[in-house]
Amino acid sequence: MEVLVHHYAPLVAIFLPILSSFFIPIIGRFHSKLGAYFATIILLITMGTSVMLLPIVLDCECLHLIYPWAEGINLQFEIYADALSVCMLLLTSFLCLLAAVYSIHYMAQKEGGARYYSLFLLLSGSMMGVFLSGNLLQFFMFLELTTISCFLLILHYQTTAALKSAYKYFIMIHLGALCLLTAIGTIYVNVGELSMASLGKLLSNVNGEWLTAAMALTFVGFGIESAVVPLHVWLPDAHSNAPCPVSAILSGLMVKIGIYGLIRFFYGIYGFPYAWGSTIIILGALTAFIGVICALVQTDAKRLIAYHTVSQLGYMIMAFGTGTTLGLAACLTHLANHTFFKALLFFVVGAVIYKTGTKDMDRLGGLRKYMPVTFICGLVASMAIAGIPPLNGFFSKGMTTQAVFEVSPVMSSIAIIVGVMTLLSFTKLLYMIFWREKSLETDKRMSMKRRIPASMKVPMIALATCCVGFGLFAHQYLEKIISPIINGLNLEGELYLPSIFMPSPLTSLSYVGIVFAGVVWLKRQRIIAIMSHKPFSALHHCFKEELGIDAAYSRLAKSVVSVFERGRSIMSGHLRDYVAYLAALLFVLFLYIALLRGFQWTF
Amino acid sequence: MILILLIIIPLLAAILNVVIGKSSKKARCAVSMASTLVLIILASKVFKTTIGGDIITYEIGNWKPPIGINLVADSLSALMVLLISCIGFLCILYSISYMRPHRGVPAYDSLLMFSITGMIGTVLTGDLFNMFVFLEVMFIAAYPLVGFFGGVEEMEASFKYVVLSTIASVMFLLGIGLVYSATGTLNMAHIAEITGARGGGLLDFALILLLIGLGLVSAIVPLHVWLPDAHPAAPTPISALLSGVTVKVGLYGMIRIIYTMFGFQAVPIGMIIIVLGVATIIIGAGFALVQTDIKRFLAYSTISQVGYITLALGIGTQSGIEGAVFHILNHALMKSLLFLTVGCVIYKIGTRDMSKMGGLLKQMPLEAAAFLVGGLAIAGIPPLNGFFSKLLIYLACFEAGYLIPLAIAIFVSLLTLAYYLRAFWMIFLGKNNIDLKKGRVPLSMLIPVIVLAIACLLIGVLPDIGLSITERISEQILARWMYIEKVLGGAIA
Amino acid sequence: MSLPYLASLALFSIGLYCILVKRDLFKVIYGICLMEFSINLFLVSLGFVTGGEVPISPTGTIVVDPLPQAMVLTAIVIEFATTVFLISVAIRLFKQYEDTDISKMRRLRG
Repeated sequence: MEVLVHHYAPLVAIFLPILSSFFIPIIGRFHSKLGAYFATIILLITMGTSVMLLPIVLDCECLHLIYPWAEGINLQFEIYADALSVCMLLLTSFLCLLAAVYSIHYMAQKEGGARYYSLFLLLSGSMMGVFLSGNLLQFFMFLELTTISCFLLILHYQTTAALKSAYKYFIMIHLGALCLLTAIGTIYVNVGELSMASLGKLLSNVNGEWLTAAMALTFVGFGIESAVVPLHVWLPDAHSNAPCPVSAILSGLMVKIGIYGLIRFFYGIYGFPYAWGSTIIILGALTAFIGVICALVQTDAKRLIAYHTVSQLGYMIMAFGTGTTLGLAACLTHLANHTFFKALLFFVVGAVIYKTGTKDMDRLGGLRKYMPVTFICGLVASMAIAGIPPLNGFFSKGMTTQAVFEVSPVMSSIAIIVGVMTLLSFTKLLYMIFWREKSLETDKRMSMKRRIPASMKVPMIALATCCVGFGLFAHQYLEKIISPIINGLNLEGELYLPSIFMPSPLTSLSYVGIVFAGVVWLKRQRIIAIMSHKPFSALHHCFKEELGIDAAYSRLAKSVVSVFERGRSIMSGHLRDYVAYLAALLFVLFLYIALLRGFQWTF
Repeated sequence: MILILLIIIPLLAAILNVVIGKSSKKARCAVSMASTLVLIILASKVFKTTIGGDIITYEIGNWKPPIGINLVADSLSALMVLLISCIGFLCILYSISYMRPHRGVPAYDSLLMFSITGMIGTVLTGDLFNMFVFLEVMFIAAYPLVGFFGGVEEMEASFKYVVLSTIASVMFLLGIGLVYSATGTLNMAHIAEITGARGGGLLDFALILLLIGLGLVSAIVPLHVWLPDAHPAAPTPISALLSGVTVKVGLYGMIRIIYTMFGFQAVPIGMIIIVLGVATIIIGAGFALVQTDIKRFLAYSTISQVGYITLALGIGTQSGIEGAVFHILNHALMKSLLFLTVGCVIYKIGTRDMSKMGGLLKQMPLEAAAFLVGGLAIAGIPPLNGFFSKLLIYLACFEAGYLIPLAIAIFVSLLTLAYYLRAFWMIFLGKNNIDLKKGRVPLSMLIPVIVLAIACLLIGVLPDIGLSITERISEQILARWMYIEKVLGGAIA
Repeated sequence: MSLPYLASLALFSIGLYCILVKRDLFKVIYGICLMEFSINLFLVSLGFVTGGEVPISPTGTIVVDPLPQAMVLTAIVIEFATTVFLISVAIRLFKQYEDTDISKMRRLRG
């Protein structure tokens, strides 16, 4: 049994979903929901395999399986499973399963169900592949596979906005992937090896410009994947226009691939570049800050949550940038916690959309009476993301702040400010959707819709339980899961967990934040009035326009296209021009040869 | 013996098609299909022999080289023959339904077989002048095929195509003349032996002239000007054949001439080819980005991909050749797939204008998937076949230290993705505002599409299929002396 | 350089000039023909040997190289086919445009 798990569980986790994705279009023909159930069962099996793998790797035992693949370029199919991979695997299969269950009813009334589930399985399988890859090129290939399937899932509704954001998503992520590919190519050309297991040793005492270039390219590549400002512009569009379960996967898992990749590459392969630490922390702080101020001004609920993903990713980048053991632990803890509460938030908004048909917060209100379970889940998630004890977000944020504080106290204050703004922003979300008395518009729409089905409630409750559970049992979590991961990455060190009652300056600062947010909540009418004045409305506009970053990208794209648009005149349609090109080429090449030979040749 | 059969069979089929003429449409199809099937079998046999490192030769009329004309099949030729016959077969199968409204014209089948004859002859011949003749056979069969529909645009495209390729042929012939006057022989192996001893002089100019002749066939910038006119004008199966295989014949010729006949080091040609290749990559991709005619768009994409192959050939290392040959193989599959898929769309909605299309995903899911497979493969996205060949090309650039061409090549692959996604969007996504013309797309059109899509996916997932082949081929290309020895067979000491 | 080479160079240049400058469809075709002839002339002159004989059962040792002549014969046949096709296309173009000005035939561009 043990051997069976060792050898086949990783393969099953990757290839069962991928291969069964091809059967869904066939199965879906018989009954519309059959595809959904099939996908759920497959993901259940997948989750089972990752649960079986967990005890093996938590004893700090790595699985390293090698299969022959492409001998021509010296490439093997390698599976490398340490504690980090398997924990990511478990997280992935768990969330994918929940999202699949959630989709059963959520996606039922829309057409293209077979396509949806097929791509969904492809996406989950390829994510597993990313986390289990023991080889850089294989990692890259699975990464691209996730991108393709995500692209197709984002454009699922085929509205113009969805299409545009999917297009942007693919192009930007592919740009990142190409950076990564170049980095991988640099390593391959210089070292001739692509296996993660041996690269760490090979590169440990290598120095050179190419290594720096490879590291920079890797950072940019994963930076796009994990939406580091100013490379984040794809994220708000893609996450807000995808179907809600897909948004949950995108925000909960896909962007984490970037963080996972950073950890794998920088800790496992290159060795952490301490010289870059402060730059990375500043970038992270910038990401957290810009994400949260843009989130504050949104009225589209999904877009608001999407901007918070940017902001929370900023925390992870900051924690990653410290380069300390505590920082890494904070990064990993926040990564997992963020998956729970962010997915939950998207599920909650999905339920609201399911019920009312809109995600525009201006048109919503008073829903807490009609959907109490959803409201409570939303409350838990909002509190978790805002870092209110004793929910899980509090601990990971506290760890992050502490880790950053040890390296750069100034930046840690930004982390706290961002925490306060996060709290404000979620207060706004809950207030506008669930609390305020504004029900006329929603009442009419609601009569058209059914109750929220159990298949949507169960995933939400499960995630809310996780948010609470990982908060209450944070110590055990840190000890049992995070420590083995850290040890697996060959890092030693003390792990610090903020306690609710610990009299540290940081925790007390978070309490100040909470109090501040409370004051804002009480004086909300006044503040709303002040905010509509001119300097604030101008700022508001500016944030809503994303500080022009997005516009700069589209200008760049347009200018590239216009260059070629103008260049089309060389294909004039005149035959004589074409012949002239030929003659000119002949002349130039003859001249080149003649110059090269110095006009001296023998006949 | 088998080599001459490879040329005679399609030639006989072409003549037979003329004889059958209007009497039976079905018989013409049957003849074409049967002959290409036999070709596939024979070609795979040749391929199996040559991939082991052997070179098959055949002396026509038993005249020993270098006096007589001989046919030579090394592994590269064998691969090309196999590609030509396989894609030719699929295109003929596709034509059965696609060309049904035009079945009354018997010339179509015959010309198709003639052009296949020309292509196979070009890649099998061991004689430079013979290569010219077969190229002309291919051209003369392709001209009327381009103008087949006989409209104004088709005639215009055909006229430009003929004028430009005639000029290029003239250059090629002049190059042959120069080679002959410098070496006194036309046998490629013999020329190789002589140029190995002494280069320079007239041979430099001869090389340039030969490359211009072949560069036009394979549409290297600025000789690409005919391609965006000619490929869209042709009936879609012919476009697939032209884009998929015919331009590759030109590239084959370039490999033969640069690597076998002259030797890469003989003339400092590498830099020229790299510069032209990079220009081709950029111009093809950039113009593809702004097209609205779906077939013109694919034609520009072909140009861009030819640029990649050219770039790889200009590097001159073994990994460069490997990447080039692999990309030749892959691009033949991908581009035929795309043209045939687009043919299905055109068949169904009767227009080539992408701005009039949209929302076809629901009606044509299979075609959408095939288009996506082809497009992503060309953009070099794993796990599809284009990824590995592009990867080899990048690595070859990297190893040789050509960093600027590398950066451009990588950037353009992003552009490639952008234009394929744009096309995918314009054709298959969004709102549907067109009336579908006919009923279902017939099975004889879908089978080639499915076969090619599976081939793209298969080579992508198991790249060793292609890698092992291309490795052997590149070794054989670089082993010039082996080629000379095997072909001349001790006829000349 | 001997006369035939110069003549073929001149022919080639005239042909190229013709294609580049002339707008008439048929003059373009003449230009092409001139270029082809120039190459044929060049090839034939390559095989010429002063005082050479016909290579079929020669009496002396000096013979004309027969291979270029064979090449030219083949090339002429090919050129004939091409020219015929060009003219037929030109006639159809003329019928459709009712004009032989090639600079007006540029529907395909960009």
